[in-house]
Amino acid sequence: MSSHQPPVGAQQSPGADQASENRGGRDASAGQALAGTSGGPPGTLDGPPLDVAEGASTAQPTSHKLSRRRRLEGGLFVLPAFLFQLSWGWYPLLMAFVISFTNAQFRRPVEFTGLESYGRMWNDPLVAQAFKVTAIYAALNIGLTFMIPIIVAILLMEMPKKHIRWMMLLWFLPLSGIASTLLFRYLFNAQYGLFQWVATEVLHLPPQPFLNSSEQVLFWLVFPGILFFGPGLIYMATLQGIPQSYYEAAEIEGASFWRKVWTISLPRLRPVISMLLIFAVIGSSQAFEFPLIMTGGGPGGASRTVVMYLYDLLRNLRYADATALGVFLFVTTMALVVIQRRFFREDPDA
Amino acid sequence: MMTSRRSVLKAMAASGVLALGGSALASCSSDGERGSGETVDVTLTTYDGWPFGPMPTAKEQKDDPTAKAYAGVLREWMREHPGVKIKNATLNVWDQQALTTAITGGTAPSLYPGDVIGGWNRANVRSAMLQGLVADMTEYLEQYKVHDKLEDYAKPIWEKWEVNGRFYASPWIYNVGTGLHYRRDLVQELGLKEPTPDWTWDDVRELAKGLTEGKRKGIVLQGWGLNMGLNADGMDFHSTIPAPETGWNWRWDYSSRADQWIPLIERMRAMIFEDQSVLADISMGDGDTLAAFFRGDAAIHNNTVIYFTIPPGSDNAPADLAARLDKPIEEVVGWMTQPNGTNGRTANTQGQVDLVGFSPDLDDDALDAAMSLLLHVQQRGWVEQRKAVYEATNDPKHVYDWANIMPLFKGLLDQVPSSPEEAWGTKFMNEVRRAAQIPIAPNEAFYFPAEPNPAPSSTIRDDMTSRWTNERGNLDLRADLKKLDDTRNQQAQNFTSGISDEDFIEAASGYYEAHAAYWQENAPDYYQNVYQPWYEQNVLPALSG
Repeated sequence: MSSHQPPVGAQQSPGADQASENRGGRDASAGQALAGTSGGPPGTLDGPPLDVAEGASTAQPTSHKLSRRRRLEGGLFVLPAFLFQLSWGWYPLLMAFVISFTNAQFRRPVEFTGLESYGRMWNDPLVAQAFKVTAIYAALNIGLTFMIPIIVAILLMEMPKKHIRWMMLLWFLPLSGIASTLLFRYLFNAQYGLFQWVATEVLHLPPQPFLNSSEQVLFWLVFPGILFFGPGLIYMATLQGIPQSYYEAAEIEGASFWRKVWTISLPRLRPVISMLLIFAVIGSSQAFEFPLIMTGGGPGGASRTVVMYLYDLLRNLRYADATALGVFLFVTTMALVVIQRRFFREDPDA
Repeated sequence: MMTSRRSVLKAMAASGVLALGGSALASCSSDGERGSGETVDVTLTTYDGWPFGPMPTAKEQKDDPTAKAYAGVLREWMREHPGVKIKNATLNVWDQQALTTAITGGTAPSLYPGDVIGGWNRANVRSAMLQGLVADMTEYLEQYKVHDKLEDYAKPIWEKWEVNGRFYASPWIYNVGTGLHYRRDLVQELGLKEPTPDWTWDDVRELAKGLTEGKRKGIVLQGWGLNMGLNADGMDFHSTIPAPETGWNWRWDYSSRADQWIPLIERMRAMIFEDQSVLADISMGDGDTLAAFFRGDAAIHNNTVIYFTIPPGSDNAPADLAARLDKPIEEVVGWMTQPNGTNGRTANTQGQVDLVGFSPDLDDDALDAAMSLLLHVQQRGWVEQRKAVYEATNDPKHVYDWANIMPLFKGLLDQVPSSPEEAWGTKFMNEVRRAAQIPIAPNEAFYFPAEPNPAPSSTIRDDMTSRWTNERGNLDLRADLKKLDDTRNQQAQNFTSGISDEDFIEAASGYYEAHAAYWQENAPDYYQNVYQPWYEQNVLPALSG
C-alpha cells in the first residue's frame, strides 16, 4: 500500500493549506506582519523592528475587529436557518414532550396527567407489535435497499462507461412517488396483478399471496426500493470521484479486485455510507405512506409501523397517547443514531 | 385508507350538488330569523363551495346553469343580509388532521363536514363535539324549526346526534345506508335467484358462486364489506359486554361464543379461498370495488345506496354501464338491503344523516347567518338548482343524483320536475323507500352520555378482519378470537371512563331494554333464541352487580 502514499499526501497538502488559512485572521496577520511580508496594516511594512512590533500590536485589534465582524456575519447567515429549525423542529419536539404529559384536549383546559399516556402506550400490545414490525421493516430496508446497492455499485464500476451512464440514468428516473405507489398496488394484486402473472405464467409457481401474507408483506413492501435504488446512484458518484491513480497504483502492486475494493473503494465510500445509513435508519423508523396506501397495516397488523399506529391514535383523537408514542419513537431513533455515530468510523484514512 | 365515501362527498361538493342553491327570502321572516333586515357585518368562509360558496363569477354563471341558479338565489339572500360576505377558504376540510388543527388554532372555515372531526366514527365525533370542536347549534336549530322540517325518514336518525341534550351540528344530507348492488341482467341470464329483503349471507354466497364465470368474480369485497357478514349476526354487539366494575365500563368476550362466530368467519373465508367467487385483495379500497363492478370484473358490490345514483358521465356510474349495454338501468343493476343474520337478526341496513359543523369561533351573528344561509341552500336553493339542472339536461338522472333521491327536508320533491322513479326505475326506488322505513335500532348515543375521556380504539378488531379475509391457509380462529379478547381487555385496563358507574348502569339498563323491545318486535326469533338468553347470561348479571 506504499504506492498510495504520494497521491494521498498530494491530496492532503492543499487541504492542509486551506485549513491553516481558515484558522483565523488574527494569527495569520500577526505572522505575516512579523515576517515583514504583505498583509499587515499600512505603515508596518517598511518600518524598523520596533515599528514592526508596534505594527503587530496595532494589527491585533483590527484583525480582532474583523474577526468579530465575521462572527457577526456568520451568525446572521445562520440565524434564519436557526430560527426555522427552532420553530419547526425543536419547538414542536419540545411541545410533543409537554403534550405527552397532559390530556391534550382540543379546546378545553388541558390537564397535567403525568405518565398516564406513557403507561397506556407501554401496556398496549399493539405498540410492541408496531415496534417489531418497524424493526423488521428497517432491517429489510437497510439490508436490501442500502447494502445491496453498495455491492452493485462497486460491480457496476467495472463495466464500460457507456453502460454505467445508462444504469445511472435508469436509476435516476424521476418517478412520482404517489404514481409509482398506485402502480404497485395493481402490480401486487394477488388476483390480477402483473407479479402474479409472472409468478404463475412465467415462473410456473403456485399463486403467491404477496401483500396478503403476514409473512411476506414486509418483504414485498421493501421490494420496490430494490428496483429504484437511489443510494446506488450516490455510491456510484462517490466511486467515480476516487482518483484512478489509486487503483492503478494498487494494480502495479499486484492487488486483486477484492483487495482494491477492501482497501480503496470501501474506505472512500465510508463517509457516504455513514450519512446514508443515518438517513436509512431515520427513514425506516418513520415508514408510513407506502405501507398505509398498500396495505393499511394488514393483514392482521403485520405491516403496521409505529408511525402508522401513531396516525391511528390521532384519528381516534388520542393526541396525548400519539405524542407519547412519538416520544418513544424519537428516543429509540436517537439512540440508534448515537450508536451508529459512536461505532461507525467516517474518516476514510482512519 | 381513504374511503371513497369521503371522495363521493367531496365530488358532491365539487359539483355543487348541494352547494349551489338559493335562499327562500319569504321564509326568512316567517321562520323568525334573528336580526332580519338588520345590517350585520359577517364574513363566512367555506372550502371549495362546501356547503355553499361565494357568488359565482359571470363566466361560471354562463358556463354552468346551476351556478346561475345559485347566483340568483344567493343574490336575493344577500339583499336581505347586506353585511354578509362569503369567502373561499384554502384549508382542505376533508382532511381530519388539518381540520382539527385549524379549529384548535382558530383558523378553520365557518362551516365544515361535521363527521370529519371524528374521522367518520360516531363515538369519536361525539367526543370531538364535547371537546368543543364545533359550535353548539341547539338554539339555532330550534329557532329555525329544523326538526319540524325534516322528512320523517331522516328525523329519528338526526336525533341520534344529540349529545348530552345538545346538538353540535346541523343535518346535511340523508341516505338509507348500505346494501348490495348486483347485476340484475346477469342474475336473470344465468337463472339465479334474485335477492329479496329476507336474504342471508348464505344466499349471497350461492349467488356469488353462480355469478362467477371465467375472469368475472361473483362479488367484489374489501375489508369492511367482508365484515358485514359477521355484523349481520351481531358478532361485535354480542361480544361487547357492560362491565361497570372496571375502569372503562366495558369488556370484550368473543371467545365464549366462538362456536357461533367461527362458522361465520369460515363461511367468509370459504367464499374467498374455496369458491373463489370474491374479488378481494388487501390493497383494494372502495374505489377499486366500484371500478371492478363497473368494468364487469365482479357482479355484486357492497356499498352505500348513493353509488347507484351516480350521475351519468361520472366515474364508474352504473347508468353508464347500462348505457353501454344499451338497456335501461333497472334491467342491468339492482340494489338490495343488507342480508339478515343466520340467527334471524334483521335491520342491518340503517339510514344515515351526515353533518354540517360550525366553527366554535363564530359569534352569534355569524352563526345565525351561517345557519340561515345553509337552510336556504338546502331548501329553496335545492329546488332552484334541481330545476336548473332539469332545464339544462332534461335528464332526471342528473336531477336526482347522489343523495338527491331522498332530500332531507319535507315538501321539496313536489316542487321539482320529473321524479327519482323516472330517473332510476320503480324497482330501485321501491327498495330505497322500503329501506327508509326500516326502524332505527337502539343506538348507544340515545342512552349513554358522550364519553369525555379518550377511548380505546378498535384497531385490533380491524386487524382481525384483514387477517381473516386476506391470510391464506389454515388459521387458528379460536386463538384469533382469544387474542382479540386479550388485546382489547388489556388495552381497556389503562382507560378510565368519564361516566360514573351509577350513570353507566342506568344508561345501559335503558339501552338493553330498548334492544329487547326492538328485537321482540322486529326479529322475534332472534330475540327469543339469541338475544334474550345472551342478555340474561351476560348483561343482566353485569348490571345487577
